[in-house]
Amino acid sequence: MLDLVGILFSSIMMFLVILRAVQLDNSQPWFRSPKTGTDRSGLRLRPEASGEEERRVRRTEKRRE
Amino acid sequence: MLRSAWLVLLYLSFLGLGITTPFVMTLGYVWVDTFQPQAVAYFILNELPVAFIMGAGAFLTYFALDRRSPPPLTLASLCQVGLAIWMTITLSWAELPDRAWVKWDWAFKAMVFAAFVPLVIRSRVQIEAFVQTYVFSLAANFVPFGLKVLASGGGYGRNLGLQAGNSGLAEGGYLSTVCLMAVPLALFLGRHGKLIPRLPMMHLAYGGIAVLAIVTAIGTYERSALVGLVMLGLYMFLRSRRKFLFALIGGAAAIAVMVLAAKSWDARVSTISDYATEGSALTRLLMWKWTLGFVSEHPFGGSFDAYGISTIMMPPDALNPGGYVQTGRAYHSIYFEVLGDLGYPGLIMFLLVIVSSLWSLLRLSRKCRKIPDLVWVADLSDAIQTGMLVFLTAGAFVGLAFQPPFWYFVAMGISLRAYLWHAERAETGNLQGWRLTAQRAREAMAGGSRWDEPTVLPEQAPLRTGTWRGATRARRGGA
Repeated sequence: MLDLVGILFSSIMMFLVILRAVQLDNSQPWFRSPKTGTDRSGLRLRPEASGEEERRVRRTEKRRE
Repeated sequence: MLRSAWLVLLYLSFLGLGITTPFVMTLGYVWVDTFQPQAVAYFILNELPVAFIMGAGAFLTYFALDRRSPPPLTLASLCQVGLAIWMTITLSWAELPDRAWVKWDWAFKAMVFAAFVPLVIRSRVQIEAFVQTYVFSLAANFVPFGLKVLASGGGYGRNLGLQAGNSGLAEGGYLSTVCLMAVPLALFLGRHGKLIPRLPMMHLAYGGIAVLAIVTAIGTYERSALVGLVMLGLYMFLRSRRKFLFALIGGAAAIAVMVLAAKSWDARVSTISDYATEGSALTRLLMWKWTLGFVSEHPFGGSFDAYGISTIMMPPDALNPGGYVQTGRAYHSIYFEVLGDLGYPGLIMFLLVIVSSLWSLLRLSRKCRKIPDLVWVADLSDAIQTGMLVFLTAGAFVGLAFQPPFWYFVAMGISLRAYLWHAERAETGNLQGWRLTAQRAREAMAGGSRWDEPTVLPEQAPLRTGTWRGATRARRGGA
């Protein structure tokens, strides 16, 4: 009896998890850039669009000249 | 009858969902590998190669439908593949070829599938689904076991689980170790799980699962379980942010175990200190000595189950005043198992997997701890580290080196690290080093120019002189 309880409990929970996972997997982007505001641990996050990209464009232009 | 029909239905559900969503097939393999429905069902599943069908389905659906966002290459993945190749090569000088092939058959599959998991399990949803599936697959075994221990007590060699026999989850040393490894994962799911509705008592439910896992481990009366339990408590204490509360609960739990546990449990675990005279512990020590001697003559190991040729001389006892000879005793340690079977090259690769996994998980945890969006990564990283350390300490006295659970933990670590790698680069073209060179080469080939020219990336093209200031302002939300 307890064996059946264990099997039913685990399989029902697992089935719920998988149905939800399939639903979310198809509806959400897989990877999200984490928010940058609180980074104090040296994590390399998405550079702010301003400085980084401007510098990159300037470098490219200089090379072309 | 009802049980078998239910399991067939579940198996078919995995296959059905897996055809449209490939990662489900991988979860299905984890379920089959961990829960082993073929050993529990009375019809259909016990007659089919269920693991082979699910595993082949996982590979096929991945390669046909799902080759997106591959993970970066890691040392642990390389060593896993290296171990799979090396264990195959060692078969050519196997001491006992017939037995070696039998063990190779499942050990090779475990290694290859664990190396394959990070290719399939990539997003947060997939990582959590993997962890949930693993914990619930195991829970089917330890929930009834734990409840039976609470109701009537456990015992050494007493099989209270779903499977019959004395191998896999029916073997006390294996069951207790994997149960303790699952404890931090269950606690993580209670805190961060998103796939089960966040009901108010959900974290308590996962806490209950963790308690039953610990009760099961204690109920097996395995001494290695006590060693694993101590490591579990110590490392969770070290990683805990509320150390006082943790010490209070842990202390109360330890006292409860000592008071409530039967005298037979006390008698069993107290033999740990009598290692020099107690038969089982002494056999281990002599076997480890034999293994060191064996690899000094065979540095590449004797392939799987080489312990079958071992001969050890036991000291005199009351029954055998002149001592006696024992042959073919198992290694009873993951380290000596790898050393004896795969020699020094195998041991080096095994240790590299361990060290590189733990090191990268520690770094991951430190990196993500202070970022609210990534606290779950830090906590899962801690849970995986704890599970691995439990395996590495309890496994020092049980031969489980090639069993899948540890390799699933390694795979989870690689998936987690790859998730962060992708998340850092999400919505940016933030490539560096050889990846940037490779991307430039791809784009140059597509555009017909030389690959080593300084290339302007496509997203930079519209941002030329005179326009980039305006474009940047627009991105900032300005006029």
